[in-house]
Amino acid sequence: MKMLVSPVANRDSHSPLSTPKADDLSMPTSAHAPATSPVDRLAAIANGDHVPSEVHPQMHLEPPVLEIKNFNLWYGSKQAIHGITMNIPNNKVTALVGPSGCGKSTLLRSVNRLNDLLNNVRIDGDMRLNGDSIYNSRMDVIDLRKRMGMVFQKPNPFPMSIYENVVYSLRIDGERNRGVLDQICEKSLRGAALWDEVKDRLTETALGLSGGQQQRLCIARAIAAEPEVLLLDEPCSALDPIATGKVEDLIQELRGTYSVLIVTHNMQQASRTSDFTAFMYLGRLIEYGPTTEIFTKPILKETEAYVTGRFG
Amino acid sequence: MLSKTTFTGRTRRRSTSLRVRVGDLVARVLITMGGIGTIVAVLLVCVFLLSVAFPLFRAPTIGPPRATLHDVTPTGPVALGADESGSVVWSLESTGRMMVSKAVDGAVLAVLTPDQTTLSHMTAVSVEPGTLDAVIGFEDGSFRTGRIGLESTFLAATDVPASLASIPKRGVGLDGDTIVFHSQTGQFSRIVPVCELLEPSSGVTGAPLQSVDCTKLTSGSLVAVLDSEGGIRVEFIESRRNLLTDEVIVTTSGAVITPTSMIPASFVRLSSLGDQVFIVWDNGLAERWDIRTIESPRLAESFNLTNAPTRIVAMEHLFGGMALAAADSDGIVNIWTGVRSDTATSSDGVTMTATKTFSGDGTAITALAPSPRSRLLAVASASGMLRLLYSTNSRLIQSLDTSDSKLLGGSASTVIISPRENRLIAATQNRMVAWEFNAGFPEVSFVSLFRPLWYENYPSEIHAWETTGHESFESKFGLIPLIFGTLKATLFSMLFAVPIALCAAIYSSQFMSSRWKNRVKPVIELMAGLPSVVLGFFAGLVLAPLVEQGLMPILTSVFLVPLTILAGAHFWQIVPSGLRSKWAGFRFALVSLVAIPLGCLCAHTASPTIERLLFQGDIQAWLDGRGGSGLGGWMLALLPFSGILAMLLLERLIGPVLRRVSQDWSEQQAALVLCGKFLVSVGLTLAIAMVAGMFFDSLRFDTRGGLFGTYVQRNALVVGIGMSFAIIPLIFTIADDALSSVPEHLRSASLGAGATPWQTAVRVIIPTAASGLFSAVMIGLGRAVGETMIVLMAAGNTPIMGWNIFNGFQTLSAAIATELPEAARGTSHYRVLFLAAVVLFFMTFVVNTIAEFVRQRFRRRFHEL
Repeated sequence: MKMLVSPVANRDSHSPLSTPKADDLSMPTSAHAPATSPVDRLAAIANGDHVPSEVHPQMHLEPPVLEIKNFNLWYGSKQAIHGITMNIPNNKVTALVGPSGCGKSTLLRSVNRLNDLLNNVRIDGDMRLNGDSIYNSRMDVIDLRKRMGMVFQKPNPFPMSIYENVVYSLRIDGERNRGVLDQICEKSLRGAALWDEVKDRLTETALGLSGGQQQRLCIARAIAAEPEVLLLDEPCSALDPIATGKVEDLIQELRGTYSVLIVTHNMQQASRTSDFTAFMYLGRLIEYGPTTEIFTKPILKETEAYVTGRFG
Repeated sequence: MLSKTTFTGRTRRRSTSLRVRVGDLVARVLITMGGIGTIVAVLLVCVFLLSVAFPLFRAPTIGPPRATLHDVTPTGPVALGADESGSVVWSLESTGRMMVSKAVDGAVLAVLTPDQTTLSHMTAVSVEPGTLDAVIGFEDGSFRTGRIGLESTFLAATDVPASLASIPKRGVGLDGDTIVFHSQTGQFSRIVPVCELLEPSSGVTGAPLQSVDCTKLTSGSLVAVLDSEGGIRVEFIESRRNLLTDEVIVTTSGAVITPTSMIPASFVRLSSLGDQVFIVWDNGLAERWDIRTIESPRLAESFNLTNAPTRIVAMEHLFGGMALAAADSDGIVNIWTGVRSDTATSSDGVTMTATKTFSGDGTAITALAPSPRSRLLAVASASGMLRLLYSTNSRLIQSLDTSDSKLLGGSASTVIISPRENRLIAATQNRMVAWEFNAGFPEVSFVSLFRPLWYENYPSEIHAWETTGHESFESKFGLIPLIFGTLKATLFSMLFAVPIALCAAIYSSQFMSSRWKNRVKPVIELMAGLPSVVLGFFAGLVLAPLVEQGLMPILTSVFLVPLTILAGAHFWQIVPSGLRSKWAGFRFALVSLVAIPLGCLCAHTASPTIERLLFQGDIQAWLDGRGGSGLGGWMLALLPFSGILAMLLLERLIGPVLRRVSQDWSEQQAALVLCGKFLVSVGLTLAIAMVAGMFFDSLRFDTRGGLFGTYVQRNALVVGIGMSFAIIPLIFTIADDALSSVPEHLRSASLGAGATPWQTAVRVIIPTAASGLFSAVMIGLGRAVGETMIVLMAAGNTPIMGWNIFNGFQTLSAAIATELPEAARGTSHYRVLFLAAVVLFFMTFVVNTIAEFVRQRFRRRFHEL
């Protein structure tokens, strides 16, 4: 953790964390004079040049649940994530924003190693979940995923009853005690603000729920597993505004109890729901800081341009 | 044409061009026609099959009666007959006069006076139905054999007398003393009354003969005579023609039979093979004598045809000579046949048994006539009823009332069925009635197709399919053995194919890397293209002998290979986790590469020991039922179930405890304990199977005779394996597609929740893909039901019923394929095969309909996905 503490953000600085080896691998082009105008910086990134991240000093004060260390990822020969280093604070909501294709979802899916399922993915660097290396060869990926909950872009309840959906993670852990299952089911559904709507039809198929209900069910399913980190991958992009509102309220309620990492396209959502916001662009972390600062007085013009909707 | 006014510079035509419209229309019409054409074609096939099979169930037709007034004679005709075509009838009166008349109107065509026939003092006559072979008994106790009846000879058109050239088809004409018949096909034949008799042989006591019977054998005639004093004689008359002098040398040999009862008997009847003679008293007592050595007849069996006071009034052999029809004074006709049994008291192990009973109207039978070409039987009773009965399926074909004064005006004293079964002729003293009739397919009825019947010489009622034999053979058209065979083939091949195909599909869709999958899947799909005749050839000629030789190792490996794979998977957990993660990608290959050969090796090594322990060292002998306890069979049959039971038990009893205790164990320790649990479950499995086996064995239940039994080289096991080659690719492909098409986000959700790939597969992917998996299995089932070549070549084609996995069977499709080319068009055999095709059509239809129905239900459940 100590290692991760970077000096006060300086637009001229390199990431001090890059080991020489990682440097060689991921930063073939040496850093050069900082770009001052948004166009220059973005152009430099598009050009493939290394552009250092701008991390607000407050970020180093928060105790992290997840540390991402100089993380690179390639799809085949195409690099999708370029040397991202960031800490996800414990029991806070962290939003990842950025234009399409900037690697937000890829980064999120890298956290629970869902990218392992794809054939031609190659990674470099590491992530640590509460100090345990995620990409260590000794780490059992199944055990890792048990420590995280994930909610996807599209609601994806299993084609089984609402009840079974919620207790799925307990079922796969072999829990058979009906009392425990019932209790956790109710707690999770209440946690996901769905209990009152579905308590009378727990045995009905989850596919009969509306889109917003399905998504909240997925969140209930995720929190039933008592995750150390809750990963939300654009959880509201397929929902209507009312359902979105409910999910956002839910995220508000989870704040303080869970560490949440949320990917979103919606600036208002990020500003409403998150404590911290990271702005990514073309696989790079551009700026990372408390949400209020990112949205009101970002360090970089590019960030300001993006969050105010002038590009992206 | 570029235009400046539009963005792209092209002006779009706002109407569809005629060419496109026409193309659209043509495509629509063609596609519609194609679709409707397909449906129509399938329907036409169905209609065709039905149209061929349907006449089987058509009611018999019987034409209007043609009554003729006979010349009044003191006794009426004692024997009747008809020519081949059934259009000319002869009758023999007790005075010895023989009359030949037209069946249609009774017009007399010829009369042979007693002097011409030399039969003036006859007292008994017997003419073999459908032939001219006759024996006549006389007042003085002598008898003569010979030929009586009508002989037809083909007549060239040029030889037809001019006056008869114009007679209509199926008509009979008379020119002088020449009787000419014009057949339906336009051929003329001359019909000549024949009465040629050999020199008389002397009887027993000199009293008038009362009953005579003869049987034509290849080397001569066998005759049995009974006189009014009860004297009985059997005689074999052998006539040989001297090749040099053309002289006929007649030698006779025979013996007198002295029955046990002193009362004079009423009938003698010879068996058609000439090996037995039946002596029947009118009180119902009957004796069966063995006359294989004609000089010294031996009593084989005494039995009772009826109980007093009912009297036996007529007794005839049915066509084929294997069954006797005995008619009694209560109007009941019983069919008796010899049944071989171990408990028989007779000297030859055969017991005469009444297998069928036709109850009448309570009035005595007056005449009984078997058909000369089938098991049809004409029975006249005193009430004037004339019934046509079919023995095999106990069916009353037709019932006629002849008591009308325009017809017989009473009960018939003599009845015959013409040689081609196209005329039924009945006579009283002075009247004769002929009916033109068509019995249709009397041997086929719902009962004979789908119910067990008591066939001649069988010990009990059985389902049987047996359609080819010599001409007098009793055809057995029971479809049940074929339906059973079809189901057995389907069941056993599905038993092999479904688990393998589904597991393969789960593996390839869930675990295999897509690089490998892209290579493996086309190869397996290629297997589906293997011609089934090649598979059948392989199964029948390569696999069957191999399985026969290596039965025990193969049976052992069925259990040992999965066991070693499971053991390998457990062992894998003990491997240090570093090494395990490193080789994780190859774990399946590693485990299976080691475990499968190891399993085969173990099976090979252990099988002699197991065979000694469970099957007395020779499984084939054990299967034959030669000694040994039933334990081995029970172990074999129960192992899969006891395995499941043991697993469930351990999981329920020890699982929770183990989970609680193992929380702070190291991974290595947990893996070791898991291995221990596995070993315990193997032991438990064996123990459960053994205890259950011993329990069933002690109750004297044995798997032999059920699931197991005598080993036959071509059997259900071989078919199961062979057919798997045909079915597995089919099920695999569809199941793999179904599993692969489960939305990726469900898989991600499950994996993201921390489920293992296997948990994901079992809990999410398989239930979601259930409809696809189900249709995969049903399509495999459809293929197995209709599959022909493999079962034809590897199943032995023995239509036996019984679940014995080591025995053969015959399926509907194999029966159709083998027998249809040999069945004569339009015969009942031919039509029954078409009916079998209808049944097969129906079965696949049902299977596919159920499949579609279930699939739709599943789909509705998951359509929101």
